[in-house]
Amino acid sequence: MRILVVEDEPKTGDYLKKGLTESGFVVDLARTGPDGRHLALSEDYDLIVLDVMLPGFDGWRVIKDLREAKDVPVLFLTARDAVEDRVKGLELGADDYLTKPFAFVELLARVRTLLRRGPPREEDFIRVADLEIDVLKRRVTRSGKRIDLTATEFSLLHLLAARQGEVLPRSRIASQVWDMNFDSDTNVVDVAIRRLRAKVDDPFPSKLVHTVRGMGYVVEDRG
Amino acid sequence: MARLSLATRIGVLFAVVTAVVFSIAGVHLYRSMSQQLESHDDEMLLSTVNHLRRRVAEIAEVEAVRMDPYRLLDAVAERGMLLAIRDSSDRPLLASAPEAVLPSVGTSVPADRDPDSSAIQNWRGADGRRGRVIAAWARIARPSADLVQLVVVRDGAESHVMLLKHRGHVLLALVLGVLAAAPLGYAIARHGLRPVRMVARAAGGITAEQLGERLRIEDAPAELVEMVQAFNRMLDRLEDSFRRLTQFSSDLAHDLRTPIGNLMIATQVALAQRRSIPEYETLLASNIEEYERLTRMIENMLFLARADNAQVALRAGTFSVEPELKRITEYFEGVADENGITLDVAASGTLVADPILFRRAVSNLVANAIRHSPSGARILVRGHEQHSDNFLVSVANPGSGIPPEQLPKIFDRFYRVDDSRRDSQFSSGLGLAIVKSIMTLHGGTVGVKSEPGGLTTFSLVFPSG
Repeated sequence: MRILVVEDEPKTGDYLKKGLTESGFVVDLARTGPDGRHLALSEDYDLIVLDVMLPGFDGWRVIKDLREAKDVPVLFLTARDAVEDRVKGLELGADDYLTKPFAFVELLARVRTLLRRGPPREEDFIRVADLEIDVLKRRVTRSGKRIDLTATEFSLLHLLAARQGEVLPRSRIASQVWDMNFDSDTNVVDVAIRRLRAKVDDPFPSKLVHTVRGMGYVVEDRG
Repeated sequence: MARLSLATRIGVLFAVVTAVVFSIAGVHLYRSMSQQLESHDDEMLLSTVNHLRRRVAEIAEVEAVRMDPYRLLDAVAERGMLLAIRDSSDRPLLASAPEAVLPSVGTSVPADRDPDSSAIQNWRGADGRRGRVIAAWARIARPSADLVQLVVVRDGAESHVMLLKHRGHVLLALVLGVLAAAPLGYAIARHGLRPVRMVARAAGGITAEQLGERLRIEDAPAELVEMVQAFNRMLDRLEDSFRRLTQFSSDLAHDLRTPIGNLMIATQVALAQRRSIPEYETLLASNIEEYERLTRMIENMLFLARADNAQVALRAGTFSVEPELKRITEYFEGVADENGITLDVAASGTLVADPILFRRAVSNLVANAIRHSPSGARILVRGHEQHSDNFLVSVANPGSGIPPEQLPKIFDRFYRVDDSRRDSQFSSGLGLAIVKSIMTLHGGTVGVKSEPGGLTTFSLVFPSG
């Protein structure tokens, strides 16, 4: 998967390239509006991460020119925390946005969602090692043993298991499970994970719900 | 004209008013003077006619009038009048001036009637002189008792000169009055406007460093008291905002310094020696926590700043309150449960509000309540319509309570009731300030009641409709 990052801030650009490369993407970096537009039009990318404030001309113009030629998904980054900016970006044809400062995990999660193209296919049956989730019947078993989960715990496990191997930041979990779209001054997600673990992991020798410190949580079979 | 000073305008207006008043008075005086002079002349004419009639009555025959003219002429000359006498067949007997200047008067007062002012007419001499004239018949002595016609003219020249003089006086008074009124009006206006200049000077002297200064109401004239009061109230508001802003800036600096200080110390200590990879990982993860705290703080402050400038667009919708409150308590259920706290929701009705901001406000209150409740506590979350014109949402928790003197301050930014809780990485000290901002955006209010050792209740009042 090829990604173009257009970002003029040197450190941000370098770290985005490094982080995305290490997550398995092939990354090109452009540092000005004209360079970004040139690369975006001449090369084939699966996704473009575009900063709005750029030297030469801004990201809005890049999106506009790009949209006349191509349909590649665009995720734009805006330092300005203004609603108008987001609306403008989405109207110009961007697919998603992130407000600076943002967590890298959050960016990664958005990038993966955009690359999936179209609504993710809901699996009716999810298996992670010996954990089995029957989504339709809302039934969870591990090693054949039935685990009783509350509605919230089930939503949480379902979210993580459906994207197994993918680290989900706390903010995304709060948004997806409880529809809480703001940073609250609480450790609600940590507590919910702890309670989920008590039922899903604690009684079993191998653990499936993992904490990635400073990033978030991931469900995967680490053998 | 638009830039003329108030004092100049008042001076000019004064002069105009003076000119108008003097003119009216002058015209009136001139008229009454001329009327008085005329009636004085007429009286003189009448008395002269009577006098002449008596003299004529002493004369024995008509011819004697011509023989001894001075007997009659002297009487009119000393009164400054002209006289002509004609006999009954209109032949001139005597004239004090050339015949031409004396008129022939058609209607004469009959000899047996006393003359009155109705018989007097205006007279205009051949040389343009003006005056008053009367004609009357007089009877000479018996036995002939013949009639002669007396024509007496009072020359108006004398009165005319007096009137001209009078007019000159009036005009002079008018000019002098206007000349005096303009500067006087200007001076009076300047004097009267002195308090305004003093207010302006006092206002001009107020800077950010001395926002505590106020204009003295006692010094202001009655008309300006209201303005001075309004000005002082404006200063009150400015001072309050300025104080809050200053406080906010210093709190902000302090609150930013803490996580940044942590980051610097932790990183420098880690770099002072070679560490194992797990140690580096621990450091980076701990740094992330500080970064997240900073990010949260910045996000919260941006929200407050935008709310202050009313830049947060309300996306109001109608929603049922109970499921919304249930959803919020569900979110906090785990945390509450771990602390041995139960959340109790009871609500009814629908509310028009921005659902995301509503959720944020109530979440902040519930998080706050959980933080300050002892284990085993029950937090009551209620929502229902009140007095049919507003909607009340309340969050109540038992606990040690908030000291009364701290109650007014708890909605201030960065204010924390318990300073020792500063270290709590999840409390930014902005939660209640955000609740207040959200309520202000909705045109509602937030209130708090606290009984020491009893219930602490936060209430959000949303206006209906």
